[in-house]
Amino acid sequence: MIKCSDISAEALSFLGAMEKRDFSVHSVFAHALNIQCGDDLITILSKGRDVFPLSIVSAEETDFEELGIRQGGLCEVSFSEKRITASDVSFDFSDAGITDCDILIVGSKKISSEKAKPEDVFSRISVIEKFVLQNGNPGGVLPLLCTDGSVQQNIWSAFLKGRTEDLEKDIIRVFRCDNKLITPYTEEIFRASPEDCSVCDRFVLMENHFGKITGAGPGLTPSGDDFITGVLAAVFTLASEGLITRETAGRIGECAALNVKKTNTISGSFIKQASRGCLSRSIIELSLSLFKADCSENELLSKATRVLDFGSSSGTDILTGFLFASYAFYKAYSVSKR
Amino acid sequence: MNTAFDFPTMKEEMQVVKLEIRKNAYYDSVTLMIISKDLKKLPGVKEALVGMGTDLNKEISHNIKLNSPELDAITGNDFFVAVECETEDVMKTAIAKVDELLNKKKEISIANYYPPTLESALKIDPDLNLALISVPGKYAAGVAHECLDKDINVMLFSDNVSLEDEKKLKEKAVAKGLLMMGPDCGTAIVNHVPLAFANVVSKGDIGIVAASGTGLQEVTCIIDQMGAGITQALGTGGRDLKDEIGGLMYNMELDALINDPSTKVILCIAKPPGKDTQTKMLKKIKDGGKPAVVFFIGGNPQEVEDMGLVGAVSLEDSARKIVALSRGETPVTFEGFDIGEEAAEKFVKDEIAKYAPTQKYFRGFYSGGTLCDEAIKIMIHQLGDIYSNIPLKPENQIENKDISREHTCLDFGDDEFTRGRPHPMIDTSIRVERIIREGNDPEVAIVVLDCVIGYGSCDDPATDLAEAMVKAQKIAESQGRHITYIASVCGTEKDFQGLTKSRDTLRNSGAMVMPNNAQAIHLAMKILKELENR
Repeated sequence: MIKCSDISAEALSFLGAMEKRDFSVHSVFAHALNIQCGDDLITILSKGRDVFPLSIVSAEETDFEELGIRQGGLCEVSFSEKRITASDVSFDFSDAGITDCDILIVGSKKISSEKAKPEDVFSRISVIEKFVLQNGNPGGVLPLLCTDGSVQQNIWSAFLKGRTEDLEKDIIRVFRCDNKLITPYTEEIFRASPEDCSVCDRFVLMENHFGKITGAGPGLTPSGDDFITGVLAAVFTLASEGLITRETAGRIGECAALNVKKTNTISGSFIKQASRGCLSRSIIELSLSLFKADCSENELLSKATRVLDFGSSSGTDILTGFLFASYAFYKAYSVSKR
Repeated sequence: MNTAFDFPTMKEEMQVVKLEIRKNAYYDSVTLMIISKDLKKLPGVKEALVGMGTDLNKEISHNIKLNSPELDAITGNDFFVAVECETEDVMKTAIAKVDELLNKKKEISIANYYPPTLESALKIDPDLNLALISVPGKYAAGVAHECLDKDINVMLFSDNVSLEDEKKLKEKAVAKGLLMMGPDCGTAIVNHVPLAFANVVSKGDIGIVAASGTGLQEVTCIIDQMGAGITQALGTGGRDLKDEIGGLMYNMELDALINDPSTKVILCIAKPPGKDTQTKMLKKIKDGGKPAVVFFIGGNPQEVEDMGLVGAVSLEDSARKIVALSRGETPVTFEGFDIGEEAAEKFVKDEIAKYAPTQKYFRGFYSGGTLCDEAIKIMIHQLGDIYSNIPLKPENQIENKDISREHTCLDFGDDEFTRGRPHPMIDTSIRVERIIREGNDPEVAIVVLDCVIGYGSCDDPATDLAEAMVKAQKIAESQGRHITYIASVCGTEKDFQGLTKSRDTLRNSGAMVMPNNAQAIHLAMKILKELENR
């Protein structure tokens, strides 16, 4: 019996919706075990890994490959006993602490503190950008961030360049059309210009443009997918901070989610969660600190580092998407202010 | 499930393209990155694409003509490697490399039967008498007890074992006359068999007991490089000499070496022990009657000398002294340079002449914890403050491990760096990234590095570090600066990576390669002292 120390609120609620059910082991890695539950994956992670939506974390470091758990094997989930069993190995989450991974919920629960000024937020975004450009893995989409040619384009980023530019145009227009909003900073109303009006068309285009990125790139979670996760993280951060409406964020999320079949199950599962604002804790922590009045550069960079550490290039690609959407907001914001 | 398609898809210019496809197979991103990186390094490989078989990845393959009908048939849940090579022979090498990397675990398990339990292992060989245990900390004590109950000596690689459990295990082992090395014991050489992270060293008459992993590696390697050899190199685990444990294993291992007729002299290495334990330990060594050198890293050698034993000031000094004793010579304290004082002076002057006025700080980037610790302890008196993730003074704790501050010395093998990543001896990338990044720091004058080779370490750490140094130096030079790189290799000629080969690789990148860590640190200190007077 392996005790688990953490479970995401999303995983708890997902498992709670079923009683005793047999599922199958989708994939096994040294530090992660994925269980296929219908169209979704529940992941058990080894201690020290970041809690993300639909995940449970073991209390001790665990090598799942060495436990003899095999892909395709049966897996039994018993919510009443708070236990998941795969290949005679049981994972007990009865004492696990519950962690919220929905940024909208976490954002609404946070104790209200003084907010950073808009110019501080944008300058922090520049700090993160510089940090990612210096330290990120350039093998995925990172070159898309680079405007001075210091990071060379690779096969994947070259392929995605025009596609992400198209997506950016859609996002900017959708942000501009989010005209119900009064920003907490400026109290100015975002107003759509006449050419931005066809919002419905924009969402159709956006869905297509997400589709032209989903599944592209190296890695188990292709870089394009991680980029999308980053975009969605930024979008839901903006919604959580009241800078765009939740409705707009939700619609952008839907556009991304409609394309998950274009990638593999594991990666698609991350996009699906992100499309609802459900993100790993490290991303949420970073997002929250961006808007905190008293966040030092060290604190900000140490949070960015946690995200950057994901996988091989995944962290870099997520942050690239995050910065990309943040700049899109900045562009929309600047235009709206005029 | 696995398919290799050797289709004669010849690109224009007669290039050979081959695909390796694994249906419904998932490999972690680090494995995929290593495959991609290693394939592209192979001579004759023009292009390599590694990814999941999504529609867009297939489109990219088509765009660069790394495609085939078989590729069209795969799905997003299939893994593929597409390689373009100059010749068929190169292709064979590339495919062999992919197989090697992907099947590493599988091949091992097919070639060697891995008994799932201790009982089944004993069925195969009832005479087994040593177990190397590496399981999650929660289970480690239980497994170790099980082995000891069956009269099996234990090397416990796992950490996160409580002091209470450690004491119980060691009491049991001592009562039965068994070894219980660890917990957190990463290095040992028992009956000339290197265990875990260890090097291939010559046989000789020096017995070693050490409560320090890379410390043990460093001294065994220096002893080997000096033409001497060892009988046993036994670990104890880092906490054994705390008063709570009372040196239970240290004492037993000392007894073993004292009573071992092939051990002529004894070398003891540890961080300074608890007061009571130190007194008892030194008395035991003294009473044992064999010539001995004791080095407490960061401790006062006079306390050892006062007991009539030979103390030491560095890992190198302790190795030199024990070799002298083994040869019947009088040990002399050594804090100099193999290259000679004059050559060192000249090097210092030449380097300082190349610095920009902003350059004044030292950076130590280590994969070995003891080597990092040794560096800080040697330098602290001269430098005052050295910021680190394993600082000597609490106020020198580095705030952000990713951002250097003034004089900084980091142990990249520490938990906060290895969370979710392999140890830096296995995967150099974390240090490589850092070395390159520091090229941009206008305040950096000197970067000191260790390069630990041997069992457990990656295939060619020296090349990775050398490439990083070249890149970082280019960055510095483009900004009108020059950085001094000082490296040392912990290893022997018999290690599969090769000592000379590794040193040459580092030297060819422009680094000053010193024979060991202590000399590397002393050279760095010499530069810093001269810089103060600039």
